[in-house]
This record gives sequence, C-alpha cells and structure tokens, in this order.
Amino acid sequence: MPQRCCQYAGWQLPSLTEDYGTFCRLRRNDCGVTAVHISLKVEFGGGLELLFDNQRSHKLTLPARVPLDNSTSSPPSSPPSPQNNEYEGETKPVDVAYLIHWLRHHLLKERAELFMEGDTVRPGILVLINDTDWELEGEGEYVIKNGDEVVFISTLHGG
Amino acid sequence: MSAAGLNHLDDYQRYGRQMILDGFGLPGQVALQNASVVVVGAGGLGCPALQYLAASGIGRIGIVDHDVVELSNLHRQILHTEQRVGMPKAESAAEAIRTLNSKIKINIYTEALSALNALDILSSYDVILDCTDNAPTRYLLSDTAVALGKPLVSGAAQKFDGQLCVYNLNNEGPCYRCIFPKPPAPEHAGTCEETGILGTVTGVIGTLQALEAIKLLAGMHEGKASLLIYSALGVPPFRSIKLRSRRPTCPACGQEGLKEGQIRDTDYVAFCGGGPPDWEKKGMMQGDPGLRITPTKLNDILASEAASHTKILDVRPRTEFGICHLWESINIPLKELSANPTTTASVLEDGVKEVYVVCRLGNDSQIAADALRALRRDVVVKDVIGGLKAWSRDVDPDFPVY
Ligand SMILES: [Zn+2]
Repeated sequence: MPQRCCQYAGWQLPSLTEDYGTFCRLRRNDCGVTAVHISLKVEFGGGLELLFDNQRSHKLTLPARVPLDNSTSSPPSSPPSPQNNEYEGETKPVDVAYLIHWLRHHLLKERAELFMEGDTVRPGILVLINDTDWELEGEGEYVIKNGDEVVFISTLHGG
Repeated sequence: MSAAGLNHLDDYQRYGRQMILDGFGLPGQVALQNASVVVVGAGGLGCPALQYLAASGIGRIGIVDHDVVELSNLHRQILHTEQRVGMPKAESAAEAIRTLNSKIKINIYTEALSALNALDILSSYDVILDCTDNAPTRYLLSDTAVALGKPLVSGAAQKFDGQLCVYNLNNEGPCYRCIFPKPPAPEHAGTCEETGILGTVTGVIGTLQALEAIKLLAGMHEGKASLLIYSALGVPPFRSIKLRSRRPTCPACGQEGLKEGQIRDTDYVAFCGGGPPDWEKKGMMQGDPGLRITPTKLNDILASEAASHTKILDVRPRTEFGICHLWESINIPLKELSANPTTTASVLEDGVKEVYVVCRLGNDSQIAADALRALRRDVVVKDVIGGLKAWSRDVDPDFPVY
C-alpha cells in the first residue's frame, strides 16, 4: 500500500488533487527502495504479556531492511529515511531474529531474562509465525512479510 | 450377545446418544469399553478429564496422584468435595467417578510418579493423560510415552490460559522434548498457587483432553500434530498451531545414530533445575534481626507509642492487596517500587522513622526492603518474616489466608 509507505517514512502527503499512486511511485523511484516498511502484528501469551505492559496484542512497523547484526538503535517512529540512510553497515531484510532483538529493546518493560537467553528466546517460549511453529518457517531467519502475525507464547506447566 | 457388543444390555441405553453418531457407532463404544486410560494428576485438569472419561464408558481408568485434597483445590478440582478434604486425591477422584459409573474398573496409584515406577504404572494403558502441574513430570511422562509407544495427551493451564497437545501421536508425532528441548528455569515455570488459575479454564482444557483420548480410542483422530492454545480473554479464544515434525536429533524420539545427548535415568527434577523453590520456607528464614522482624514483634510495636511514626508498606500486587490487608498499611507493589524506587522513597513523609515491609509469604518484602534501605538511610526499614500468612498464624487468626 503506497499511501502507508509514504506516511511511515514521514514524507509529506500529496495534496488532494495529486494522485497517490503516482506520487508514491515517484517517491519510491527516487530512492530505489520498493518497500520501506513492514507492518506486522505481534502477540504474547502464556504470561509473557506481563513483560510487555500486560498487553497481549501489538501492531508494529519495522524497517524493511535492518542491520545484519540485529542492532536496534533506531525506533520505528524514526525509520531510516531513504534520503538520509542512518545505517552505514550491512543490512538484511527484516527477519524474526531482528524482531526478537527489537522487542527486547523497545517493547519489553521488565526482566529481559524472562524473554531472551543469548541471541534468541529463552527455553520454554514457542514462536509461531502465522499460526505455524517457527521451526517449520526457518526460525529466526524467517523474513517478515507485510501483514504477518508473530506470536510468542510461554509454555504452561500448571494444572 | 456377540463378541463385538457391549457388556451389559442397559449400556445400549446408557451410551445410545453417542452411539447413534455417524463415525462413532457401536464400534466406537466397544472401543471405549475395551480401552484403558491413565490420568496422571487428579487436579484441575484431571478431574474434568476423569469425569468425562468415566461417563463415556472407558473400560479401565488409572488415576495417579500423591497429593491430598485441600480446601484451595475445590474451586477447580471438581470431583473433590468438602467432606473429602485431607483424603488422597486419587482416592477422592475414584470415589467420585465410581458413583458416576459403577461398571468401569478403576486403578488407584497414590505414590508420586518417578523414573523408577513410570514404566510399570503406565505400561498397561492405551492412552496417557498428562494432567500434572510441573515441568519435571511433563518430561518424564513424555519420555515414558515414547518408550512405551503410546500417545500422550498433554494439557496445561495457568491464569486465563490453557494449552493442549497430543505428543507422540501414532508414534510419528513430535514428543514434548522435540518442542521444548530445554526446560525453563524453575522460577520461570509458575504454579497455580503462585500465579493463580480460573477454575473453568482447567475445566475447558481437561475436558478437551478427555475428548482427544476418546477420538484416539474410537479411531476418529485426524492424526496431525497440533498445539491448541486457549486464552479465555482472547478474541477469538482458541488458536490451533501447526507443529514441527519430530526432531531427528531428539534424545527421546529421534533416529538412532542421530540422537544428541542422552536422557539419564535420571533425576528429572535436577534436569529441570532443581524443582520449584519452596517460597513459604524461604520467606520464613529468620535473617539478620536488624533487617527482619517477626509478626509478633511488629504487633508489639504497633501497640506502642512508636506506632505514630511507623508505616507499614505492603508490596503485594494491587489485586492481592484488594483481597485483604492490614488496615494501617499502604500498598506499593514490588513491580512499581522496583521500576521507580525514588518515588516510593519519597512517599514516606518526614515524620516516619520506621518502615515495615510486608507481602504474602515474606520473599518480595525482602527485595523491597533492600531497595528502600539503599534510598532512605534516615529510616529503619525491616520486613516481616513469613509475611501476612505468618501474621495470620501468630498474631491475628481472623486475618484471611489465601
Ligand atoms: Zn522427541
């Protein structure tokens, strides 16, 4: 959706007389980037929501290309603009590994050790990509697509 | 009566409403009659599961549980009764389902399931139900189910959430270790006592476990490994997840030659990091008298002149504070206090010389008192040994224990 893409990049919206499609195509041609952002839904369950402000469902927008080393210094509200690229280093398409780092640094409210261990989620957390076990989707290397839903649930033990 | 019929004439009437279902029929009912199911854990999940299994006419049911019935179980463990508080759960549940269906055979095991007895106890059953409440037993059950080549219908519930999965389905599906190769640290694996559980949530999951068992026995299971996630407050509340296949490297169900690591016979509790901490015992540790105080001594202080410059700080979550609290106490949950210690410290107005920190069992209060001491050197900060539970026991028996 071109309108959305321009909005998130913080570009000025075209006046009503201008044609959105043309405007966006032009802008995209300007910078040579086809999709600047990816919108996705993230959900937490099994108690993990407590670490994220007790909110189960989150709608996020992430840059389409992210640093190879998963460093997440840039919050989504100020994405790297195509004209003024903040990322000097190597990039990759945004994937679930990056998402995990991003959640830890930007959305997690407390006790990071209950969410991550080493470079990935802690044991006992199951990651689901569009209702499928992430292991079937390439785990952290799964490249996130617009509209994807990623769910993090903690395994329960009570009975 | 033919060999492929029901054992008793009135069984046709009793099970008629499910026998007339297409796809179930007489063969389905005969399959249940000849089947055996063992339910490990006669608690929140086990009770509804046992109830439906017994009612449906499963021929033989095993019940494994080493606990006794407590008053705090009754809101969700619906086979137990006020009269049977104190009775072993396995016996209480057996009594309940015997009243429901006198023709089924029931075997009771009141010992704790361990690596030493699991094969013996479980081997004579067709389907195993995991209705337990702790990680070590979940790994033990999974390994045993794989070793015996039996399906394991696993349920779990906590707070408003539940999970359901059939492991080792048809001896092809993944086992518990395939999905969760590494156990979580025990302090991350909450129990119903610590985290709470809505009674009907265990009812939903336990009932679904009975349903899965019936589908397996009657040959009606679709045979695909999936994980069902239930959130009572979610919209929609159910979500079905497509699961990975077996891990070839799984130490339990993997392929010979590819298995990574081995399961030592082992102390499952040690594998899971030493079992859940005994919070009540920890909270009762006497500690440094300069840092901790007994409920009785606090009561003396509150009755003395010192009360005028004394504050009681209750650091339990607001919901728990709302259940009951000491009337003179103020509530700042540990979570808020840790996030914002300076604000908390400033809440204590100038005249205050002594602060007594209290929680339910006396663990969180120690953390809070430490944080407060670091910020307010001018006041005496102590926390109450054993928390409000000890207060109720030693000072005010009318104070509610929950
Ligand atoms: Zn396995």
